[in-house]
Amino acid sequence: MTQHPTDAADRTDPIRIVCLVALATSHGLIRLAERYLPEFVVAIGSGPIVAGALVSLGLGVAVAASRHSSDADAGPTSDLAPAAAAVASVLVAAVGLLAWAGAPTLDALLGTPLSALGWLAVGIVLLQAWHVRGPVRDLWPTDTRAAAPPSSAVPARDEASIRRGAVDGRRTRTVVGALGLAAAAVFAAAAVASAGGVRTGFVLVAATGAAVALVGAIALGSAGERTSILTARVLGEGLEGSNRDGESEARRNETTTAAPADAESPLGAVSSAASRLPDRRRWAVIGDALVRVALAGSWPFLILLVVEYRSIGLSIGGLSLAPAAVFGLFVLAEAAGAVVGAVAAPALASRLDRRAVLAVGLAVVSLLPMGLVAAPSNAGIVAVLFALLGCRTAIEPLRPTVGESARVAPVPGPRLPDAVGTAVQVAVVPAPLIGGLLYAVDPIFAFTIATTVGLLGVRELGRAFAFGRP
Amino acid sequence: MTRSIGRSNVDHRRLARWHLALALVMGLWGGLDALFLRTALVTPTLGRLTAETYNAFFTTHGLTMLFLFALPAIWGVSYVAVPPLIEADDVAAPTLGAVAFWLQVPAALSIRAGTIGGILGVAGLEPVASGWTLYPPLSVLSANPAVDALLAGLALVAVGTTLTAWTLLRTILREREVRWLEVDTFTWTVLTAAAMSLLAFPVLAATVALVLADRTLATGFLLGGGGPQVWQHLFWFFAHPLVYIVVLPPMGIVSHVLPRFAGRKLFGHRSSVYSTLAIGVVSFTVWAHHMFVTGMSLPVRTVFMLTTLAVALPSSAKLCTWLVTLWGGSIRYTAPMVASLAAVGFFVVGGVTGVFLAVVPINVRYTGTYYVVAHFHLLLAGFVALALVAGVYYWFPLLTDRRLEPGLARLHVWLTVVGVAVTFGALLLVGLAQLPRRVATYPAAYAPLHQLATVGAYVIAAAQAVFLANLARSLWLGDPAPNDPWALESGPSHTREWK
Ligand SMILES: [Cu+2]
Repeated sequence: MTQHPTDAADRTDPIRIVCLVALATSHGLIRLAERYLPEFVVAIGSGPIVAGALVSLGLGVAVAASRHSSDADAGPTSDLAPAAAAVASVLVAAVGLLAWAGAPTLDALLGTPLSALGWLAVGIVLLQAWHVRGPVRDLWPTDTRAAAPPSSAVPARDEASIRRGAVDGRRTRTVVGALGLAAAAVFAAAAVASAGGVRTGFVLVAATGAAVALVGAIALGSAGERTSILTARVLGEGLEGSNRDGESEARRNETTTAAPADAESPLGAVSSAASRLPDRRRWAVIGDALVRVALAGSWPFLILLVVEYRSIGLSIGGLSLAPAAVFGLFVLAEAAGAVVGAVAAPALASRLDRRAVLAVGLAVVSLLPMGLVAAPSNAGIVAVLFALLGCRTAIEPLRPTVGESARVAPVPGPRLPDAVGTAVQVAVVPAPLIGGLLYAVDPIFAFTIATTVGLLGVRELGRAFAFGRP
Repeated sequence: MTRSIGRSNVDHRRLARWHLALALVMGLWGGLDALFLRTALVTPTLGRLTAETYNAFFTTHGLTMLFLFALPAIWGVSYVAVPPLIEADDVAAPTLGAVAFWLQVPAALSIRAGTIGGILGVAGLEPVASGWTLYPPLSVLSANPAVDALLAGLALVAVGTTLTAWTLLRTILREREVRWLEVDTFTWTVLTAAAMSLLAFPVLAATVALVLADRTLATGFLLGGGGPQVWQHLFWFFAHPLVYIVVLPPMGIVSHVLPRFAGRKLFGHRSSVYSTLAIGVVSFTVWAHHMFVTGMSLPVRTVFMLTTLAVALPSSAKLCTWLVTLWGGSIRYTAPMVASLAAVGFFVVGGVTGVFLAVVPINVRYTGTYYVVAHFHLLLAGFVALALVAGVYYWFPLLTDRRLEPGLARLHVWLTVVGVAVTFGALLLVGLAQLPRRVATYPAAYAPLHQLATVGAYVIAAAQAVFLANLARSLWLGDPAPNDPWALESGPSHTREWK
């Protein structure tokens, strides 16, 4: 066990394959449980406001925890036991899923006064360990979440290989993440359909997710200290990878050059960092951030829209699926779209005008909430819309808020300052809660607002690109 | 010598492979039953399942695991290891052994006829739902023809097991080339289990014949006033020794594997052999501890309580030999060793819970609850299955001339250990709350514990998937095993089977 296997032997190391399969599957099941959570909240007697508040709570905890752990990353002790941290985060996530599964009756068992919603909140807080510290936190979809700090346990390489690795790595992370999501989506659809309802179906998804996560934790643990590096390599993450490729490099620059910012209040730091950005860059960032807010404020309620409000079922031959089960198939379509988008991304970026691709892509993403409201009640058409939503992976590398390297970004400029990145993450946090409030007023109203906010963002972006101006 | 072809073209290794292949297939099937059970128990209500379906699943799970997984697996491991351990050329009567094995295939199909019929949609045939103990009047009065198929299958199992036991017994008695004093502890457990089978399985055949007679000839042996109790006495006179037939060879495996990876000789070889023989004898005198709530008089119950507690003594002696062997050893954490160590741990928990269950007043309170489920699964899944895993891993090179990937093997063991601990730890808590077993519904407050148990069961299932992958990989790649696969040549404990 002390010998260092070659890279080729490394790739076929069966333990690592088991790790990857288990972690990618639990990634999918956790995401599916999160997608079904609002419907479960409704099933146990609450409404969209509570669902939105829970999602916001999760995003808020993730932002706070990722800030905290990125501070810790700077310390010399942080990489002492990355494998242990990975295993621990997976185990905590498994406990979180169990809290979700048992939420309705944990009080009765333990004599606690938390109520079902309280246990759902506990579960959502625990699950942030997966999103902030988990070994596969960089798998797609990362844009529906607050950002996690990039893993920094990997030695830097020369810049060219970093960039090549970043592109390959992003595609791998999207495809692996989408495959995990697709498998989980099929399972969730089958679970909800065979259990005859979302209450039992959600519990099955959560319990299975906990089991697979436990398997992943044991596999990670049995691979020992090799694992963090092993999984990182398979996921193409070994090269400064995260969804904000190179961000840690930026952070390193910032900590050396922008030290005076420490003296200011957080708000002051954001505004001074933003004011130091060139106008176009600032507009682009604001525009993209608005689209993010719109997406974060609407995606938790997609399930409520298609299941509760529109009740889109499906019957093929003798088999008829309830809307709650069909939603799993919609997520499957979204995952398929994500794969297509990730594969098409390099071609789009190299053949077409990046600015046009980005603007059109964000416009499509912004229009989709309205599209889902207005589309005919046909599962096939709705599935196509979900697939389009998944295709947003094609523009993901171009988005101004992800801190992409200057050569790829449509709006050239310096690396996005840390304070601005944090501000974008913080701005996304209340979006689900506000979305829930609006949804409680009227679903069409909520989705119209989401589309409007998104289109405002696209307009800001257009300003940055200065269309029609010299 | 051991790898040469025997007198017929059926040698001990082929017999072992057949038995273990059957055990693998049926173990997966029985495991699938358990997964359905656990999935149904995720919610406190029945949902779309009927109570009858639930009952069928726990019935077939028990029957399959005991008769079609544990027994063939034990005979398989015995066939592969015993002849080389006693330096025999081969088994005494390979053809008889082969006949005994091939009886198990129609037996398996017959026992699972209800499930097969249900899946294929054969009219009238549905899975038996009376529990693996087949208590009358339920078993006698059921109109389901699958009950008859099941009884016929059990009769075949009884005949086949008797023949297998006879083959192994004769092998040890006649073909042995080492002196009795040099016979190893594993062979002693196989010898004892085989002798017990020769006594116990004919009783099973007779009891099964009684139910069949009642069902087809309306003889009414088991329906009158004391009939159901007659059945229970006969059944448990067979079934408690069955438990020890299933437990003793795994004890022998643990005694064999532990010292080899602790760099020691087994401490107390003699005490180990004597405790094996003692368990073999005493286990025929304890059957009525399964009947403490059937209205037996207090003195009778007290006697059976005392004999049951007496079994704890030789069992504790075994535990002592293991622990002292480990003490101060330099332990190598190979897959068979990890499995053996975990088996010892589960043996302690399963044993201690069993001692409490032997005490009449405690038994009366807990016999109908999940406490019993947790107790015997800690012993059967925790101890027996893990010890069998240890044996299969340890002797796999002898069985196939191939090696398994050691990392995957360890992962399989660890996943199984964690899964068993989570599942039956959770069920032990459910049992301490006195939730009744064999019921598909339960108070909603216990849903989180049942969900935890289900999560554990899924982990066990994933573990077996890892095992299958490793097995397929080994058979596909055909990695040849080295001559001394566990590097024991220079160790202090003898390695007769690897010479
Ligand atoms: Cu017993």
